[in-house]
Amino acid sequence: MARRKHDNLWGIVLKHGWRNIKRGGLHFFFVSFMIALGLYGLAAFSTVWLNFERLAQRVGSSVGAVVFLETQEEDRAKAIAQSIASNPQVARADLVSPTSAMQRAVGELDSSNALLVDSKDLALPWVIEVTRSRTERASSLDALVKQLQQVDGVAQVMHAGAEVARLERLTEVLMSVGLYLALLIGLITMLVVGNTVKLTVLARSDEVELMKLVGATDGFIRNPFLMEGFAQGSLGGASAALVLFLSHQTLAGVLRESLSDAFGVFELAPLPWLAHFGLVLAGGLLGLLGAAFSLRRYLRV
Amino acid sequence: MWHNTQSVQTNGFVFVIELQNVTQIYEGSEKPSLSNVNLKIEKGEFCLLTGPSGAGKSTLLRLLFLALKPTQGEVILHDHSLSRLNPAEIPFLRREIGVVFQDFKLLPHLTVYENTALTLEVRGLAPDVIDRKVKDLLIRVGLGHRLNYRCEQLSGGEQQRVAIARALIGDPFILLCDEPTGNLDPERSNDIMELLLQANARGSTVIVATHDPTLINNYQRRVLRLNEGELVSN
Repeated sequence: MARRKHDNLWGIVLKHGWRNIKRGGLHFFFVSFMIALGLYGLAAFSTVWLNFERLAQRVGSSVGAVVFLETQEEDRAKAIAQSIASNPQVARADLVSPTSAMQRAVGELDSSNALLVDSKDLALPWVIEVTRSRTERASSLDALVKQLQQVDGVAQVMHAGAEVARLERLTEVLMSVGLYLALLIGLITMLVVGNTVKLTVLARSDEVELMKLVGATDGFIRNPFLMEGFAQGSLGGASAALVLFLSHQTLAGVLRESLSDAFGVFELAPLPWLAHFGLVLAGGLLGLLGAAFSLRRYLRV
Repeated sequence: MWHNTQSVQTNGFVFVIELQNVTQIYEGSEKPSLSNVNLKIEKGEFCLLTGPSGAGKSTLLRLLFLALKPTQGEVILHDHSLSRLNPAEIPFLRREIGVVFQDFKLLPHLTVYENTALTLEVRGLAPDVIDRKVKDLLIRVGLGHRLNYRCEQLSGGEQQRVAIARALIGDPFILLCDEPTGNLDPERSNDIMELLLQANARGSTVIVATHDPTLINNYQRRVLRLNEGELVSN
């Protein structure tokens, strides 16, 4: 029996794959659409998670602690402030005198400040406003607070560590949900692709049978289907990446305006460009795996 | 190609097809479609396989183009025992066998050219070689003006010619035809038979299954007669 080298295997595979795609018509685009939908959902969720993570980091780094001192002496307060500023976790330690604190309170209370204005004998403590030096998580804020509480002359330390911790926990929950969603979407997409390829294989069973009868090898029959699956997936991935880019462009402006009041300057961070290429690749891979899985089960060549 | 390989030689004859005690029973059926068939066909022979409907003609052909494995017995094609054949070798053996199916098995969405070229694409020939061979053959079978027609646009006779062209394009060592002239008028039948005789003259061993007595009378060739699965005349 003569086995000869295939002179034009990939040319033929491409030709047959392209022929399959043309024949597939709406089926082809349905699978692409399903893959695009799944990947877009995943990417949109990743964007939300990414921004929560950034927000948590931002809040965590901006919120420090407020240290109330026991002393009423300015020199002693300055010395304590210097001591706190020398802590490597501290970026700034701003000393606020009782007079400044009163002026600030009066200013912030605006029209309701009559009570404070009349309470001239009210003795406010010296206060040090501490800003952390690095982007740290809530657990490290707790450590810093403990160190500050041990400084001689410190009466009380107030901080927003609980709020930061809650935000961090929310981010962690989002990440877990995201991983679960990724698995679910991947599975559903593969099932949809697999079932569509199964229908395609069954619809083309005459063609497959004939190809076998004229001497086509398993690979020769499979490769165009695999190519079709990869093309469907890549198209779906590229569509998801494009819609993600466009929706970010649209939403970023809207969110900037509506959320800046609550969070300061708010910029909706996009997924990195590499992730957009990753979507195309992931789509291609999903399509390929779906086709391979289906061929293995339904194409007995 | 097959033409260059060794064949079973007995007393100077070169047999390309040999059936030894072949019985075929389909799943769910108690009655054998073929029963203890022994047969040897020489290289370059032209045989007419005949018998009433259900006699086992199509089953015999299916065994010869490896669509079936015999329930019992041995089928030897050009030195290759099918029962001992590695499944990976089957596609390569099939490439040496041309088959004209009773229902043509053409792909309706493909053109005449594409249907014919499929056999050579599977073998991995270069595109220019495929193009030349396909066009030459389609002109030879009288379909040169129909190259780009889809098969569903052709008449029954033209579709039959495409099916024969697809079977002949690979210069098969064995050509199997299942009722190739069924439903054709006598003139068209003669045209088809002429094509098969030409293939035989070029070296193909040809087996034609038919229940048309006219064909058997007109072409004085070896006749294999099946009845109820048994080879009653050889």
